[in-house]
Amino acid sequence: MWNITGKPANFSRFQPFEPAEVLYEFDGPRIFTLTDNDDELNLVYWSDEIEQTSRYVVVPTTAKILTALKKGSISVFDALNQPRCWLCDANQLGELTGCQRVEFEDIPRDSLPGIGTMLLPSLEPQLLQLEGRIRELDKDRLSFELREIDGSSQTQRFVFDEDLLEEVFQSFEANVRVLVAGRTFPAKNLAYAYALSRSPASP
Amino acid sequence: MTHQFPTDWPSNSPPADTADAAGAVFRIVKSEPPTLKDLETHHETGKLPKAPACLRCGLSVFREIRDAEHQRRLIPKLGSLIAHADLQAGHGKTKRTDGKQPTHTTWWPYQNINRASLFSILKEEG
Repeated sequence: MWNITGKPANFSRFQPFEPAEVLYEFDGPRIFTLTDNDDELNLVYWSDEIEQTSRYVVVPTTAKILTALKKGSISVFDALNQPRCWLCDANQLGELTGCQRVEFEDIPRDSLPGIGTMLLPSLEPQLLQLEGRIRELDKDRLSFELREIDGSSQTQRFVFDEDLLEEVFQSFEANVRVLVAGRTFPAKNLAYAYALSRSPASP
Repeated sequence: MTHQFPTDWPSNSPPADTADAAGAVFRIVKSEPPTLKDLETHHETGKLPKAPACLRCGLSVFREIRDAEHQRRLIPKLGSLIAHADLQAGHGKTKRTDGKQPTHTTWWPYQNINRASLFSILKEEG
């Protein structure tokens, strides 16, 4: 198993190494919370294993971070990226055998969740492509609502980057139908528009 | 042919509300082709002895490839390959053990089933 330079830490604070709440389980708990002996809340991520040793990344966390994690407002990587971080090894009985204080940035990338990966698949952004008319353009907040969506009576609120503003504005002014490509954010009923084109059959 | 579960399993394993194995399942593995090591239960490896004895005898799988793809990004060290099998009644019993993961399923394989031979690696497009 990989090794990085860290500072040996007293692991008694994390014992018993038992989940308070399991957030992701597959052949046992893989991501969970743990309350330490100081009554502090920690987020724990199963990072790697070799033979009879499992390695976990342990970071202090807060109820606010956990809520955001469960809602899909932040990724697992972002929830783990904290100023204080420990690597803890456990034997196959689930008992800690050692911990060291490390810098999060020093942990090999393939031993951490992919950037942007959410806790559950249902929280992952979904690609979408919708055709409709732009309404309620807010140039300050860089957002608009897409209405008269094909095959639906629903509307979709989009946010977008400044480089898309001119195209959005012109389409809004011309009142033409547009095709918007974007990604959803399940937690907010909001989508991010990254491309826009006039519909072939417009207006 | 009579199918049996290993005799060293606890009496409540698998639970009474399981169904005959059937349909597609997906699991992240490290080897191509998959080996038994990719498909060992905690009961076999001796890991996590304090976990529920019944679940330790089963193997976690997903019913949808989307969940396996997500897991590969979430926990890269579990493996980089997605293996697929079409389970049948002769392969054991299954039960949805989803909790927060919609298609998480536990599969209790019958004794003497060559688990690794049931799985094949899904090839990536492109």
